[in-house]
Amino acid sequence: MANISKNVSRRGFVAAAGATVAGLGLAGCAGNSDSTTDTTTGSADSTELITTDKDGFVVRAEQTDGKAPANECIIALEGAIQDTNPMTCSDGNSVNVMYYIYDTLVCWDSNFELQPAAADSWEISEDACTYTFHIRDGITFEDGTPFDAACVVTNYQAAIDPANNWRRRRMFIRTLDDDTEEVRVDNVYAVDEMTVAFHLVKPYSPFMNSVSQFSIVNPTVVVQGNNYDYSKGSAGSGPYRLVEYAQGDHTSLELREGYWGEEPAIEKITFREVPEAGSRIAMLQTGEATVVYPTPSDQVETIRSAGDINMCSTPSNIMRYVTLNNDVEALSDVRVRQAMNYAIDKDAYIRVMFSGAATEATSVLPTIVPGYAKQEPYKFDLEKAKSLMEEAGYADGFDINLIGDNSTQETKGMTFVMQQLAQININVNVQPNEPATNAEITAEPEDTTTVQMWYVNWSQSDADGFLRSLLYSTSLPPIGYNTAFWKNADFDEQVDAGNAAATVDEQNEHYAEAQSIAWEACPWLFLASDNYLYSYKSYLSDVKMIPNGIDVMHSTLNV
Amino acid sequence: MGKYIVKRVLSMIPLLFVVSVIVFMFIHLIPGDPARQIAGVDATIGEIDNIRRQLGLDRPLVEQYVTWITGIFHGDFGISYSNNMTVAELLIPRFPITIYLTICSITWSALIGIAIGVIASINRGKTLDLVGMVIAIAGISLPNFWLGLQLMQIFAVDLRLLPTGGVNTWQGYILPSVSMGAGIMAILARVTRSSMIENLNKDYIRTARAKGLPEPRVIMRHAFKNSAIDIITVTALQIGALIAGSVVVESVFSIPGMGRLLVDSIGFRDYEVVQALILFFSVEYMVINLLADVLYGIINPRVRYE
Repeated sequence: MANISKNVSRRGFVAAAGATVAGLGLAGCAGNSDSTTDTTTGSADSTELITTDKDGFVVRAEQTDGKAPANECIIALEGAIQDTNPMTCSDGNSVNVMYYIYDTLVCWDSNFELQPAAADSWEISEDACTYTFHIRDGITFEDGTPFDAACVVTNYQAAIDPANNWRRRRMFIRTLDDDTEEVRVDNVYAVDEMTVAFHLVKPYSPFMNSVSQFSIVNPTVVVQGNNYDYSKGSAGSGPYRLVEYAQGDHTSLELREGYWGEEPAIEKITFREVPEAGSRIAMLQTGEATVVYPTPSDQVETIRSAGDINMCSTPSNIMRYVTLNNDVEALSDVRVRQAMNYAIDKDAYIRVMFSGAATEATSVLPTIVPGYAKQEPYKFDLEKAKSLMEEAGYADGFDINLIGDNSTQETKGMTFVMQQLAQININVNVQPNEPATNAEITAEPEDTTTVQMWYVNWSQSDADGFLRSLLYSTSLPPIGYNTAFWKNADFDEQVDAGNAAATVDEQNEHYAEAQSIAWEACPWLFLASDNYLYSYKSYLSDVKMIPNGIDVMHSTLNV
Repeated sequence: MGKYIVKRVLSMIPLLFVVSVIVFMFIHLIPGDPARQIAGVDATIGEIDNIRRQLGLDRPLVEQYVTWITGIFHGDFGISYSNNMTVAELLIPRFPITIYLTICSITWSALIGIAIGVIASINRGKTLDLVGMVIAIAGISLPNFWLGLQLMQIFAVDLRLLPTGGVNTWQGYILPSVSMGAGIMAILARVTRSSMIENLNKDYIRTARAKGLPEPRVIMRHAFKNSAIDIITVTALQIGALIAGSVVVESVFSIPGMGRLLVDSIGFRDYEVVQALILFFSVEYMVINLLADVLYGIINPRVRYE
C-alpha cells in the first residue's frame, strides 16, 4: 500500500504494481495487500498470537553484542521503489527513500507530531490563511546552492506548473469535480531572504500535512522539469545522497558532506526489494539485511530462536473496512448497516487476519491519526443484529456482491466477512479481482457503478485525508473513494468547519463530531487497523516508524 | 542445411507478427487503465484524458499498434508508464540475468537428468533404477518456491555458504538455478529412461550386441543416439517452461530478472513493457525450437532437411 499525502494518494496505484507494501506513509492508498508470491503468510490457527511489551517489542533479542559486517544499514522491503523524483513519487517505499535525501520544511515524528525540519519555526496568521516559515541558516544543496526562501518559491512554481504534470501539484490545487479545480494556495512569496510565506485562499487546517510532504529540490534542478533524471543524480539537502538506483533490485544511499544538521552515524543505507516474506527473514538471519519491513506475522518463532533479532509491532495509520453502497436498496436502511456491523466478530477478524497484531476500529480513523475520537464499538452481538434485520424487514437476508483485491490475504478477509454475514442470512458473493481491474470498477461514477460492497483499506496521516477523501458527499468516484455513496450534509458541514478552524482544538472538535455522525450511520463495515510489523538486527541501536517509513537517521550500528 | 535455417528464420517473421497482434490486443483489451494508474486517486477526468492523449491511448487501437510496430523497427520499444524509463533501459540490465539463469538451470538439469535416465535404463528394475526414479519423482513433485526456500534455509541460513538472494556474485546463481532446474532434471531423467528402454529392446541393439560390440558402445553410440531426438524435443519445451518458473524463483531469491518485471508490468498495465517482454519470450522460444530442429539433423541424418 502506499502512502503519501492525501494529495498524492495512490490507491490502486501501488497495489497494481504487483508487490505492495503496507502503507507506512502519509498517503492514502487502498488495496494494499500482501504480495502475490508471499507463500509464508500463516493462518492464525497454526501460529501464536502476537503480543507486545510496553515498548512495542514482540521479540527482544537476547544476544546484543553482535557486530555489523559494515557501517551499512540494509533495509529489505516487500515492494518496489517505483520512482526517484520527489515531485512525483507516490508509493510508500519511494517516499521512504526521499526522506533521507530531501529536506521538507517540517516533518512528522514517530508520535505523529510535527517537528521543525528545514524551517526551525513557523507561524500561522490569525485568519488561518498565511503560513510563514523561518528557514534555518546555512542549509545548502550539494553544488553549494543555498536553501532559502527563493528556493522554496521556485519549487512551488515548478510543482504547480501543469506542463510538468507532477503529482505534488495537488498539494496546492484541489480537485473539485470531474473538470474543475480550486486553487488552495494562491501565493507563495519570500518575506525576506530566509522567510517564506504560503497564502491560502481560505483556511485549510490540514495544510501543514501538505507542507510536510513537500520535498524541496535544488532550485537549479527543479527548473529543468522532467528533463532531469532523478535516478542518476542527487538534488537534495538531506543527510544522504543517492548513489545508485537499480530499478527492481536496490537503491543505495551514502552520507554526503555538508549536511546542515547532526550527521547520522550510519554511513550507507541500502534499500533492497525482496518480495518473498520467507526470503526477507532469511536475509535478516544471515545479516544480509539489517531491517525487514513488513515482517510476516507467522515468523515470530523463527525470529525468537535466532536470538539476535528484535521484532516490533506498532499501531499504524491503516484502516481496513468494507464500503456499503447506500444506493443499494437493502443497504440504504441504517438498521441493516448497523446489523451488519454487529454481526462481525472483530476479535476473530484480528486473530485470523493478523495473528492479533491489530486494533479493532473504534472510529473511521485509526487511533494514531491526529483528531481521532473514540466511538462506542459495535460489539459482536448476533441477537441484536438479527433483531435489527427483522425490524428492517430483512429477517430472511438478501444477496449482495463483495469485491476486493485477489491476493491471498485480501481474499481471506473477504471470505471472513462472507462467513460472518451469513449468520444473519446475508448471502455474500465474494468477487476477488486483480487490483488494476478493481481500480477501474471503483472509479465508475454513481449512476453506472456496479460496486455494492468493497473490501479495502486506506492510510493517511491526517483526519481530512480520511473524512473528506472517503466519506464527503462530493468525493464520489471517479475523483474520490466514497464508494459507499453516503451523503450527509451534517457530516460535510463538520468536515468543512474542521478545515476552516483556526486552532487545533477547534478543528478536532468538528472532526470528532463528524466521526460520531459517520459512526452512527455506518457507511462501512468497520473492521480493524493492523499494526506495522518490522524487525531488525540487535547490532542496530533502534528503528523508528514514522509516517514517511522506516527511520534510522538517529540509529547507530555496532561495527 | 543452411537453406533450411534461412527458411526457418524467415518463417519466424509472420509468426512474430501474429504474436505481436495477439499480445497487443490482449493487454489493451483487459480491464484496467494505465492513465488512471499514472494520474492517481484524485485526478480529474481532464487530467486523465491529458495523460491518455500524451501516451497516445486515445487513438484507435489499429493506429496505436502501427505506431508501436513502427517504433520497434526503429529500435524504439516505447517507455515504461510506471517510472518513465525507456523499455530498453529497463530490459537491458535484466536480460543477461534471466538468460544466464536459464542457461545455468538447463545445463545442470540436462546433464544430471540425462545421466540419471541412462543409468536407470541400463539398470532397469534394480536398486539404481529405483533410486533414480525416486529422485525424478521428487524433482517433479516439489514446487520450486518451496524447494528454493528450503535450500535457502540450509545453505544460506544454517550453513552460511551461499547468499540468500541477489545475483551480485556468481554464487548467487547457484540456489536459484538448482530450484529452477530440479523439475526439468526430473522430467529429462524420466524421458531419457523410457526412451532408452524402448531403444534397448529394439532389433538393431540385439544385432549390435550379437556382433560383439562392447556394451558401453552399444549404449552410447546406438541406443542413446537414437533417444537423443526425444531428449532434445523435451529439453526445448522445458526451456519454455523455465520462463514461467523464473517468475516464482526470481521472487523467492529477489532476482531482478525479466519474469518478475513481467508480473509487475501486467499489474500496472504497463503496456509497452509487457508487449516487449512477451515478444522477447516468443523470440527466445522460437530460436530454441530452431536450434532443436537443427540438432535433430546433426544427430540423425534421416531427419536432415532440404
